[in-house]
Amino acid sequence: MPIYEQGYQRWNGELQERPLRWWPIVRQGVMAYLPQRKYLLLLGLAWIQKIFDGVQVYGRLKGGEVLEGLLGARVDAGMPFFWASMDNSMIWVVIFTIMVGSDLIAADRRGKALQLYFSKPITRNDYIVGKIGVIATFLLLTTWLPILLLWLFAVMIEPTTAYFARVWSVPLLMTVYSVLLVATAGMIMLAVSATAQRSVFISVTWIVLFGYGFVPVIELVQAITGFEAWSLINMAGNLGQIGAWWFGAETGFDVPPVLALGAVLVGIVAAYWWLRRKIEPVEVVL
Amino acid sequence: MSVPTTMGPETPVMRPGTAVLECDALTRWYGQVIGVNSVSCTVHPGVTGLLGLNGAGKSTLFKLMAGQLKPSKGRVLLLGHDLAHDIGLYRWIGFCPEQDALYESMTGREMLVYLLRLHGLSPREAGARAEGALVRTHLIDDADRPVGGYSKGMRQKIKLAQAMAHDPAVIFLDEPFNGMDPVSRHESMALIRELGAEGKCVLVSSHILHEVEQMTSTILLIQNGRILAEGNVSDIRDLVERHPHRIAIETDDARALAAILIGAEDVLGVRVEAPTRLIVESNHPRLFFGRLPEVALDGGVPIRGYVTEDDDLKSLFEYLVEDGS
Amino acid sequence: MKPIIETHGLVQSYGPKVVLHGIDLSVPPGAVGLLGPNGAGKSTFLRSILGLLHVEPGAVRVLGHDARDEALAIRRRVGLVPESDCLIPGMNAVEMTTYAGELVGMSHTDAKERAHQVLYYVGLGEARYRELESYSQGMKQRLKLAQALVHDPDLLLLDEPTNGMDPPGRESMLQLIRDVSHGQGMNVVLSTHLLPDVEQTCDHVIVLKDGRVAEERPVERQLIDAGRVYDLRGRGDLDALASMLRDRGHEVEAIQDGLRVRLAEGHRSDAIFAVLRELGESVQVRHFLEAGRSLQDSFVEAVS
Repeated sequence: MPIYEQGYQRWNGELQERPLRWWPIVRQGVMAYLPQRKYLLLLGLAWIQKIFDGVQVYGRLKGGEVLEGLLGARVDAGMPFFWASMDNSMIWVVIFTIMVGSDLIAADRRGKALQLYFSKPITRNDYIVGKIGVIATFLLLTTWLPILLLWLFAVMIEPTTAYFARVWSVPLLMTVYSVLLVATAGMIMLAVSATAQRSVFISVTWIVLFGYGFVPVIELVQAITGFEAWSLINMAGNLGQIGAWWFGAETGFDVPPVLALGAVLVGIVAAYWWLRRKIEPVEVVL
Repeated sequence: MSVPTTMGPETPVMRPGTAVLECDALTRWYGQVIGVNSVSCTVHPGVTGLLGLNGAGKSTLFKLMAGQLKPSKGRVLLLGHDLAHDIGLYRWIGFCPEQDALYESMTGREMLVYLLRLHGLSPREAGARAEGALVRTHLIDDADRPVGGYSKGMRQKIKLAQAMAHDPAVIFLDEPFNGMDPVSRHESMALIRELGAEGKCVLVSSHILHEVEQMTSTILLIQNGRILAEGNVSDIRDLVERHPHRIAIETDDARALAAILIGAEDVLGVRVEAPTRLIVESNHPRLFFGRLPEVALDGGVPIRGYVTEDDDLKSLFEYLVEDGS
Repeated sequence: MKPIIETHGLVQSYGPKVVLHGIDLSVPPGAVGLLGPNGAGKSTFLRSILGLLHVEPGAVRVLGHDARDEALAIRRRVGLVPESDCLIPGMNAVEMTTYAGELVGMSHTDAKERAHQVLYYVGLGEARYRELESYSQGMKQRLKLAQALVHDPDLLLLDEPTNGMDPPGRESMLQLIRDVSHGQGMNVVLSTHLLPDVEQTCDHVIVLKDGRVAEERPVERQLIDAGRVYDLRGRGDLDALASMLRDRGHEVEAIQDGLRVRLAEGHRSDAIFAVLRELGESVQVRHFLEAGRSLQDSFVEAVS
């Protein structure tokens, strides 16, 4: 045919069978942030911190006696050490959750893009998973991944069965803990991002809900009852308690770990429920 | 004639034929970009349609005329008085904007009364005029519900109501039917025709040309920041000679009819589109339509009906804009 | 022909408020206009079609799929052009259209190729790398169409697609819609308040009112009384025309810019031509056609 049809052409391609429906959302979300300089910089800083931890590991495993002599106490690279590394990463959790998460759903709501999403064959859960995936990517890159590498490094430089017997459960526990961490921080952030419009309000609200609970109330209730029941609202504190429990470390937090775990699970479910309510009544057409 | 700037029970009605709004060498810059370029025109009482492509300067001109924007050069004269120098003139202007910025928690009635009170009306007078406007815009049944609960069409109607409630001399309407269903559009078009007939200057800016032509035959067309055409649609059409009138005729035998019609001078060309459909081009509509009945009766080829295809505002707009660019 | 949308007794409520009171529809293939006053249930109906609401009681089948169980399958084959702007910030047209394709399940490369093709088709070829924030209203509307077409749906839903566009833009958009529905066999449901848009693009019309189907009819003008009633429009001395026609026993009523003539028993259109011949150039009848029930008439009747 010498002249080719220039009008609308039908597409004969195939749609992928059972695609990971939420994957394009994760990819688009991450690629919107990752190439930006400030994110790369912060990721770099987070990794530098972990590199320092790597040096510590080396020092503790290889120069144990020397340090003992200097400091007068036994230093180690056991489970509590890996937990401490995670604990120190909390600052990155806060930073990235706020930077990446606060506009995640708010931008879609402002641009009225939700109707676009839900006219495609994705469910509301796909949308939520996709959005959490964006936050998860950054959080896992700065906590779970480097710590796992840290563990590998430690095990490689101290390949004794004794050591391995003490730290074998780190990858498993760290993975479960990271999932819990991401779910908590992420779900609460998405719930807030779907409720408010401006990043400032979203960030502050998230910090209050996740990081510190209702501080004045905690003090007050503590003073009255002596039992820190309200501390259960402090998700970050709860997570700290759980981590310490699993990794055998000490914390100053007074809540029984099992209750802390319960509180975290309730928090995740509550945030999910609120989020679903917020994205349910999406007007497809006016 | 001095313009009364305080509210009274009697608003002077403009006699038809009295120029009410004049633009005198209006220019407006946006930095380097020229929005409106030395525009002079006169808007008479009645309904006038303001037309133009997006970006041609239509909304700039609209806002300049309504006093919502200050001109960089030139003046807007309302009843001979410069709009820039007399704030009291705003009493005589009604404006229905495209944007949606209403008092959501007030009821429709409350909102109108509030705005009327701002114009200086007494509570009793404001109440009466609000009632009148609500009736005329068919909002009276929903007048006492909060505006926040109104449908899109009702929100548009309340905007219309507030533009006319204070009985202005000039009313500016920007896409006034946006969001209204066909029945409401029909009712509102009738309302606008009424307002024009009352002697007010009603300027309607719209892209929906078939609705503009139902409200008026007077247009103002802006292109590239300048006035491209001004006046009566038919007169303008007759001047666009490069595009002869196109008449589609349904007939039993198009070819035979073509042979009959082409013989006369008023026909420029014929095209047989289908065995029963003939397209005729003519630059002399008066002559052509004058002799068509003769052909229908004595030509021997039955004519079932005919339509002048480009007799509407849409075609005229196309011709003007494409020729003018 | 198999209907593209079938509903039986479709009822939808939001809490205690019933919005759709049992809709029975069989929407034929082709281009269908969906009309109705605000609050008639159009948007609820469209959401039901997209499988976004619980369908019960009643049944809804779209393109052969049950909206209750196969909602995702439906949305794989349907494209939506929403009324309001829907921009994903920070993307350009190519990125957004590609993303839309990926969300439907296209691979990244397939989506990207198709996005370019579709953007050219809707007329955004040259502007496709520009930031969306710089787009004019007309360009945004075209982009919405592109993201709805990228996966080559079998059913296209459009809500006020010509909103805010200037006359040439509207014409171009309506032609695009007509082209995909009549040139390529895609089914179209057009929800709008602008009757001329429906007349230009659709074959069939459904009017909803208060959650029920008030009227269903083809778009073509339905003749009021073939060969007996004619509409004349034009200029000149229409009053003289009217009185002459009345004198000869025909009924005449005024319409916008013209007259509607009901011929007396036994007369044909020649009677009108005869009067016109007598009047000569004092009357210019530019339109002369059999009177039909317009969409406007149908709509007004259906909703009052």
